[in-house]
Amino acid sequence: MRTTKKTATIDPITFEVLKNRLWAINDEQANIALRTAGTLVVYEARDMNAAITDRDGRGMYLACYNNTMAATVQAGVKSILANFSKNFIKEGDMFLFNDPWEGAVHYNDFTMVAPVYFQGDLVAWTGVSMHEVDVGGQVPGSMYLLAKTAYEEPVIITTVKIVEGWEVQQDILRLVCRTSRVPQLLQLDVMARMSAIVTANKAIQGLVEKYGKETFLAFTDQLIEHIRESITDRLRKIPDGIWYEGDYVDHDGMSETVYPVKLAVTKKGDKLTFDFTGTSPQAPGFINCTLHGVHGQISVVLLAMLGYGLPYSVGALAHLYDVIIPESNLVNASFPAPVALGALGASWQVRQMVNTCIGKMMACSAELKDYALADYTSTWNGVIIAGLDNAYKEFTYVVMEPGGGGSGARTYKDGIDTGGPIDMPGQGIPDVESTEYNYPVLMLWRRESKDAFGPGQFRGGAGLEYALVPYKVGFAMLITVTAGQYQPGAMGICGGMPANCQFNGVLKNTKIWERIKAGEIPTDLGKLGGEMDIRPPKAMAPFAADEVLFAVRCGGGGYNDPLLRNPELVEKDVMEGLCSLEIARDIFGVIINPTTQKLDVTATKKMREEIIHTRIVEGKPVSEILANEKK
Amino acid sequence: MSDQLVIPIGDTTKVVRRNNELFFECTRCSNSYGSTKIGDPKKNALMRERSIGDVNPWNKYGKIDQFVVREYYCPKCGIMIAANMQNKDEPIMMDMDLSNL
Repeated sequence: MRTTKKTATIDPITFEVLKNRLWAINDEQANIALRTAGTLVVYEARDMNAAITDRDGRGMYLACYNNTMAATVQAGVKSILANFSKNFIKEGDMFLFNDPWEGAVHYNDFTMVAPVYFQGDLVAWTGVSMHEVDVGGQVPGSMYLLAKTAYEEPVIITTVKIVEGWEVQQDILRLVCRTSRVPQLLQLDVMARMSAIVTANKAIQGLVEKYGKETFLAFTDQLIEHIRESITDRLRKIPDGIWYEGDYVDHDGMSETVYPVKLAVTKKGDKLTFDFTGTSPQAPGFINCTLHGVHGQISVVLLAMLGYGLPYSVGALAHLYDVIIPESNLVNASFPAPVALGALGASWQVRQMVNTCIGKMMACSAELKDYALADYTSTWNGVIIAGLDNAYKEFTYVVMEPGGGGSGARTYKDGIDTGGPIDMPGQGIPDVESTEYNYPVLMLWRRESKDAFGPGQFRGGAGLEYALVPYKVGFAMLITVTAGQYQPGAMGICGGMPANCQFNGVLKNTKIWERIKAGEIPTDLGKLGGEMDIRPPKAMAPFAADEVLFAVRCGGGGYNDPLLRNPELVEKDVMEGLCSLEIARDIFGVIINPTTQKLDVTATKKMREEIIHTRIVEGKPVSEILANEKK
Repeated sequence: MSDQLVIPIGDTTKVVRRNNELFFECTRCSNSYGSTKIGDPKKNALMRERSIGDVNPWNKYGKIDQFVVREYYCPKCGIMIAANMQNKDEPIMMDMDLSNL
């Protein structure tokens, strides 16, 4: 594949100039795509990203939005290089795909990539990936709960050339957009990708022209090597060992089955091995993911936790880790297994466990302990509301509030409240006014939720809760596509505790519209009243105009024993509505006066002593439990 | 000869070298969990199992009869060194294997 010989080393100043200039081009590339996109999911929630790879498809940069998505750009480019002849790939071409077996994490993530040429030579690739609201298939939002094979899922767009010689291929564009319930929005997003790629490609060509092709190619090799060496140096500060984690994906769309996911991370010298042995075989429903999802998730966690301060280069990780996964597995699905929920199902669970294992591993290094992170918020608490508004116009509303999950605790500070998932540092939540302008819903409230975090000396960031009601709707369906509902979804590390279960509930008999018409807008669950029907993690049911959707998102996992938390911080959390008096007392051992909301220092000391006493009296020796298990 | 810190394990446990052997030790009370050859200090800890419904009010909407939080404590001072959420029918999960330090 390589067209020139190995290039020479360039001087440090030129290296730094090129590194930061290309980083800025990547940032601009992402922002062009954001500002020209057609959907709220992209231009406000920023469920997208942009990437630059070298000429061989080795990832060099990811912008700061959805990193899992962009990490798969590398896989897409490598697939193009492997499957198409050299003569088929030319300057001015752009390729599009959503094939989970060619690089996409799931069908909704359309990725476009393009080669960058300079004077006839391939010098780099650029790519943009975005989550599309709807890409066809049997249900709005394109995640069909009852699919048993990929053939019942949205159309698979295996890699197609959508732009040739800078000319949009009108037939391909029409075909792609025809698959969607919202073709105009999809077309806007496709064109936004093109704008971003044209901008980035021209900027890269300008850079190559200024510094010379040989210098630029030398730089790309040197950048990847520099990042690989930097991460390797950090790995060397960690002792050799094995770290374990286990988690679950609850509900496969058709049954309440809970699927275990297991991970053992072995660190030996400069190398990591991610062994998923023990993970469930492929599920009959749409929660499976392909190997690209696994590599994407491993990459984003490694780059976030061990690649801090460096460009996010997926290519630099190539020789740093191996993966062991059986075929036809929940996290290595074989075609034609259903995978429509891969990104929010098994793939996301992989990230949770990689996050926790790497967090535990880094906590064993004196030099890197302060960079360890507990698990971030569990999988997307997905909700899609679709139907006809009262003008009989079709709508598909993908609720983006789940972007407000809590970040994992740090070893010296709490996680960030509603800080979002670890792979989406630049993600946003749409403005409520934008949501209400674009979709037939009325948001009753949206706030950081009480007790939605993993306790610890440093707690996980708080997750978000919201309540909304259909507004001027003719007919609506509520589709839930979530996990982490039957069991807590974000784990703590080193004595920190897991965060909360997340869920979606529908409140009936609240007389909401009578109350709104009378001038009352309920702003919390207590004031709302009614009876709550907890929706299954995956379900589709009518959503009546007088019903209210109430959802709580998972917070981040905690770090260290909650009894070591500064009681004044617990008092502050109680006063800010983030922690209940009961959790303050039972988990943190902190007594807050219910009337004054002030800390009772003496009662707290006594309570903590009592909890320690209970632990020692009620705790059973693990050695005895293990001996009994052997019997 | 005093103990020499080899590595931390978070802030409640550490590995120390004593007479050329490595041991897991409680950071707060110096309780020894034994040689690092056991792999994970929790093998010599205390464990208490609680329903997920007992540790967070939102968990009442989860499968409180199926999932538990297993908390592991130092047997001497009671500090919590690990807390794992698991299906109650599964065996105890280890956090680490540092037997080859």
